[in-house]
Amino acid sequence: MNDRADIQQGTLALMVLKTLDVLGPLHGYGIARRIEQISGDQLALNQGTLYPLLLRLEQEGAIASEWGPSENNRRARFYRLTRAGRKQLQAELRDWQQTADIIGRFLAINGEAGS
Amino acid sequence: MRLLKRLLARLRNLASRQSDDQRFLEEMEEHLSRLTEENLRSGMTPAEARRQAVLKFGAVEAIREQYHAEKSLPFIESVVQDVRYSLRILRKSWGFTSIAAISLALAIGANTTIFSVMKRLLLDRLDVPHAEQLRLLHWHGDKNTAVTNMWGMSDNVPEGIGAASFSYPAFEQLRRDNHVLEDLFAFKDVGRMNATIDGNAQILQGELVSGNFFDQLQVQPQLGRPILADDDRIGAATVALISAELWQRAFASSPAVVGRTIKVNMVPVTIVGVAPSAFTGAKSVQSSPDIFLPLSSQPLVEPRGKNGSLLGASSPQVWWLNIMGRTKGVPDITAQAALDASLSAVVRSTLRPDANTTIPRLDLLDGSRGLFLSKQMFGTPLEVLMAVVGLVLLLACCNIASLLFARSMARQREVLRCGSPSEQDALACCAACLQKASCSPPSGERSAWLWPLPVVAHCLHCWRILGRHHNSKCRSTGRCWRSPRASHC
Repeated sequence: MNDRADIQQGTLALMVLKTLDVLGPLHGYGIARRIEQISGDQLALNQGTLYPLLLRLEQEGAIASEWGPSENNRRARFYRLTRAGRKQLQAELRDWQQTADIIGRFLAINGEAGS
Repeated sequence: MRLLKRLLARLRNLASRQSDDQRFLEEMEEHLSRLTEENLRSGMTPAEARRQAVLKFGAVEAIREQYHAEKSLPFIESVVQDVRYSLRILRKSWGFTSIAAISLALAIGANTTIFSVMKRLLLDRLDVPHAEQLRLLHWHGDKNTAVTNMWGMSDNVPEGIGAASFSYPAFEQLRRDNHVLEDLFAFKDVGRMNATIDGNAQILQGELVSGNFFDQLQVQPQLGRPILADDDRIGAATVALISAELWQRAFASSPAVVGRTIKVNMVPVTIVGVAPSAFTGAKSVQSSPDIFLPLSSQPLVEPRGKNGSLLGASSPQVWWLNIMGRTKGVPDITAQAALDASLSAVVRSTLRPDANTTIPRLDLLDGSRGLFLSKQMFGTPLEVLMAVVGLVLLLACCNIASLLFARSMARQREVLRCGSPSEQDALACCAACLQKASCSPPSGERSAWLWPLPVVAHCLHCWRILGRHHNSKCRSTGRCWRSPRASHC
């Protein structure tokens, strides 16, 4: 349990957007499961915290939601990416990639010096 | 852009009061049941499966609050809540509320009324462009002053007598010599005149004005032309400019009034124009003459003195004309000295004072409020009255402050009983005060700056009570409610 990482501020939104981009419309439980699967159960996620985040993304216009029947024929709220959300995802991916590259380079230098 | 969208959505939710978290509860229930099913499949007992599901979901109440905060604007919501709460309290004790409201309303009402009167009588300036540039000529002398015959008001100055009246020769001389002010102009309120308009007799207030009067005041008539220098020559046809009020009253605002002839004190006078509606002449701010006539018509319409004429050199003894001029940047003290010199000269040449009489000295006064007779008549009484109603307001404020103080003693017990106080309590107290103050003033535009007094007093008191309690609480629990929000009652 202790080696599970807390989610960094701001990255959860990116994960949600990416998940919806890949899998299409999905309910909250599905998103939570997917994030945990992809991370290989490395993330300590209180699944409930997804819902305020989903609401925020919806109010920002990045995603839209509607009620629909789930696989087991119960009512669930399905979230899907909007056009604005797709654009936001692209922009955030670019930013994230850039940051990761820079950090990666720094770490590489340290590695060479250490060896 | 995203922030804006989010803010708009939240505002929309706030406005439409979509605070129901039905959607969240349903989604949460669905989520939990799926987690539970999953746990059951992995072989847990139903109770354990549910427990693990809830653990995995996280702290429901905290998430719910977060969800709610995301949905709308919690700060505004809590302010609205506080205002409602304090309204309820005020309604509950309607006796207190009405006493507070009535006493504040009376005090503020009295202040507003007296201030409006004071503004009209003492503060308003003539409605002409750049009234602040106007200077009024005035003189003062001792008991033996050379000026003995006056038509108009004189005021008692400590050493003798003073007035804003000058003789016609003095006006001409001062005007000729003047190089420190813009061109000097003269006017004289002649009081009631008998006029015949369309065969109907009327009583009009008349003002005689010099030919450069309208030019120097920079006033353009709303109809026709002003009185010009050409009209102010001996022998010119008598013309008149009427006030907007007379135009409306006697001529039904007909544009055909220009060129009409009326009789003023039995003298036929041709109307050449209508003054703008806010213009009140140069004498006072409060009331306008009905009719303006050139000085040259004085021997005809208002005969006085020897041969009936006060013009020319015929009656240098009668001092009657009010004189004004616009400043043109020369310091007043310099201008006064220069004009004083020419006044002495004209007094010597026209009144021929003997050894026992003294020459009057000239003063240059602020002319932006005309002769400002209202200052002499109402200045002190009004200031006293204003001070008194100000005190009344202060008393009302003290009254309410002490009432609030008494009430907050009762609140103190409440606050202590319910445990740790929060900002919410302080806010509720403040909201009650604010309402108290804002519900009472009927039209307290001017004295509005006074009403926060009881509010401030009460807020300070609230804060002190909460603070005192807070300190003891902090000591006992080691927690602080002022910075991070701790437990609530």
